Order: sequence, then structure tokens, then C-alpha cells
Amino acid sequence: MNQIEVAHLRKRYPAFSLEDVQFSIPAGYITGFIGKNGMGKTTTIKSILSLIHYEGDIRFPAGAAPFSNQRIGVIMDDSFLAKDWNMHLVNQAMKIGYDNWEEDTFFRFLKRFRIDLGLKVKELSRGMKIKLMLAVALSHRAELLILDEPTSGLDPSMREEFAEILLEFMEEEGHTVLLSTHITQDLEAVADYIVFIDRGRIALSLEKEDFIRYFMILKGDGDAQAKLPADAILGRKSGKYGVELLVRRDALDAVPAGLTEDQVSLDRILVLYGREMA
Amino acid sequence: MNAVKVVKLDVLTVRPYLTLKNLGIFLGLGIIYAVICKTGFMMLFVAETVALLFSGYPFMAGENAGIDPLYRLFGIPSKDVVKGRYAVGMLMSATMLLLGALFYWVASWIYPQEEFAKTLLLVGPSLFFTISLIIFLEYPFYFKLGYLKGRTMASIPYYVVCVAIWLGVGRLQEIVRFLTAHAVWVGAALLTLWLAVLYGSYRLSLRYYSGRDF
Repeated sequence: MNQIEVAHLRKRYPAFSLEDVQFSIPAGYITGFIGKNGMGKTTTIKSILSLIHYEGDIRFPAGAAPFSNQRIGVIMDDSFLAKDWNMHLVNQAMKIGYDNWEEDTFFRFLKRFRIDLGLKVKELSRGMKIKLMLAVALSHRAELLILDEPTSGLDPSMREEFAEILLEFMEEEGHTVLLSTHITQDLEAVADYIVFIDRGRIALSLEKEDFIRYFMILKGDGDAQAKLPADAILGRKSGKYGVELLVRRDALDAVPAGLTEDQVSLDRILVLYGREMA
Repeated sequence: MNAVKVVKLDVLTVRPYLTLKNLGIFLGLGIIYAVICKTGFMMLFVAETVALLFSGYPFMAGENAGIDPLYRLFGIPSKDVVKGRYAVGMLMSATMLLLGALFYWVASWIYPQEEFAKTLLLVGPSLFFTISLIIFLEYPFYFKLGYLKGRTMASIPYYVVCVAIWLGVGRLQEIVRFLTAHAVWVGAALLTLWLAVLYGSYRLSLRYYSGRDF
């Protein structure tokens, strides 16, 4: 069963557009949503949350119908909270807004994150705001978490704690996470599936292991590229001492002579994909 | 039900601004005008001016903090946000009118007013009528352009009403005579006008707000 099904999603802006985006998010798993800056991750997420108008179809097949945003816990770049609210007012606002608000859980998270109840939203650092949003997202019995760059303002220890909290959330049956991030190490630790968006289109959507296995990174001298079929190469980074190539593993029977295989990671895929190919 | 949520959330949004300091400023202004004009009657005007000012605060706070996306995250439909915000505008106007009336009553001990109750019953609803009309004319600008961009445009209705009052001042006696002679018809016409402006304003606001991306 899928938690989210996105079909033929289009959104046009003057300088950018989402083109026929299609993917699904399986229920009960953590799906990583990756792509470089400006490739359409946030626009896709905003469409899922109905924050923007779009063409196409977005469905939520899992769980009781009708699905509403009430069942989604969200972290986005902006906190969406009035800057002059202190933590008590945030609690009051969420109590009004969310039908299943659990203030005990909220205050427990604030204590765990060491957020002073008297502080106003505008007095919080970016990392603290993320923690606050996480506390909000986890305190209204959400079945689905949609997290857009949640770890970018967090220090390494908090990032680790964040991953642990996600895994705690996933312990409950039917819980699902869509996690968009640049910090791909976080995904390697927790994600089950990867959806990769590039220039407003879904380039690949697979289980994480299959996703990483789909690619191969080869290193060699400047002439190495000639030894590969042109349609196998997905990206290239030229350096002083040679070239690094991202290729489709299924397009090669063996590593050509003069090239050596390097370890594939989500990070390297993001760096190399589409590079110098235009 | 969702519109009630919006009312509560909007009130919560402006709550940090409802401070004793701001109440003091309002009282101070009212006292200054009351002393200058030697009538507590000015309390009502100052109160409604403050209500007009505060009616834009949910938009301001919303724009600063992205409260509108929060309402969508709560699953509140656009029509309920618009309804709720109009209700908040009316609520502020009514509350400030009551507060103004209270201060007017206190001030009438210092500056005794002939026919205090009659004046209050005539001026109070007239002020509420005028201020709510201005709010109705302002809100579509805020819903379309947001607070910062809409503020300049939204001040136009205020100036239009000021000009209308200025034009009417010279013919005040004539107007009062006409109003008292046709009180029922004038009342009905004003109520119709109020409802028509409210309806038109609401429809426009809903159209603009529903089309917005956050």
C-alpha cells in the first residue's frame, strides 16, 4: 500500500517547472527525496501539502479516507509560527489547529530538546526552530511526516538524535516518512527508498540498495570516457589528473581497461549526476 | 467550525500586541482628545481607530511568520480562513466599541454630556457601520496582495470615507434633517449597503485568497 501517489504533477513558474512528476511513497517506510538545489523538491512537497496550486493528481491511498493535512507532521524551511509566540502560545495555537493535539507529548519534546518555554519563536536559532517544528510534528498523532531539509541547521549530535527520533516514530505500524535533504549521510542511515528528482522530473525512484546499485562510479584518465557507451554516462567531473564518471551499471558488462571502480554513495551520485553533460 | 478555529488563531496571533502598554497608548490618546474637545465622546472615535488598526494585524503577523500556510497545514479550507478573518475584524470593532463606550461613560463624569445614552446609541452603531465598511473595503487588498503590499491600497477606502465626511460636514444640518425624516428608509438602505459591501468584499477576498500559493 502506498501512503502517497503522485501522478502527472505539473507546476509552472517563469524560471522553473515541474514536468509530469510521478512517484509513490510506500506506507510504513522512510523515503528519501533527493536532488540538487532548485530541482523541484520543495515545490513537489508544497504540492503534496496543498500549499500551492498544481496540475495533476496526488492521492493518499493508505489509512482512512478522506486524508487530510491533519494527519501529516511537517517540517519546512519556515516555521509557520508567529514570531512573537512563546512556547505556551505555540502550544495553544496547535491545540486549536490540530484535532489530536497532545500537549504532554509536546512539552516532553521541548524538555528533551532543552527549549525554554518562555522563549519566543523569533528568539530561537535555526537549529532550535527545527527542534520546535519536530516537537510540533510529533505531537498530533501524525501518520505521515514530511520533512523538508530538517537536518540542515542541526549539529552532528542533534542529527543523530533526529535519526533516532525518526526510527522511534517508525516503530508504530503504518507510520511513513518522506525526508528531503541535502545531507545524504542521514538518508544512508535511515532511508528505505530513494526518490531522485532532477530538473523538475523524477530521474529514478527505487529501494535504497537498488538505487545505489543502479549507479557505478569509474575513475580514469581523460580518454577513459571513449571506452564507454555514450548513453551509459550520467555525469562526469574532469580534474587535473583524470576524470570521474557516473554511469549506469546495467549498461556495462565489465569495467573497461584503464578505468577503476570507486565506491558509490548518495553524496557522489548527487554531485556527479548531470554534471558536464549539458 | 473551521472558521471558529481561524478566529481563535487570529486572536492568538495578535495577542502579543494586546499589551498594557498599547492599552495605555489608546487611553492616553483618548484622554488627550477628550481634554482638547472637552467631551468623552472622542473615546469612541479613538477606540474604533484602534480597532481599524488591529483589524490588519492578523495579515501583518501572518505575512511575517507565514501563518497562512499553517492554516493550510491544519487542513482549514480557504473559505473558512476568509470567513474567520472577517469575523475577527468585526469582533475587534465591536470589542473596541464596547471599550470606547466604557471609557466614554467614565469620561462623561468629568465632562457631563447631555443625552449621553441617546448619543451613544446613535454614534456607536454609526461608527461600527463606518469602520466595518472600511474593513470590508480593505480586506480584499490584504487577501490579494498581503499586508505590506496591500497596506497602501487598503488605505484608499479610509481616505474615501474621510473625504465623504468632509463633504458632508458643510451640509450636516440638511443631512441630519433628511436622516430623521426618513429614518426607517435610511436605516434599511444603509443596512442593505452594508450587507452588499460585505458580500462583494467576501466574494472578492475568497477569490483572491483561494488562488494564492504559499
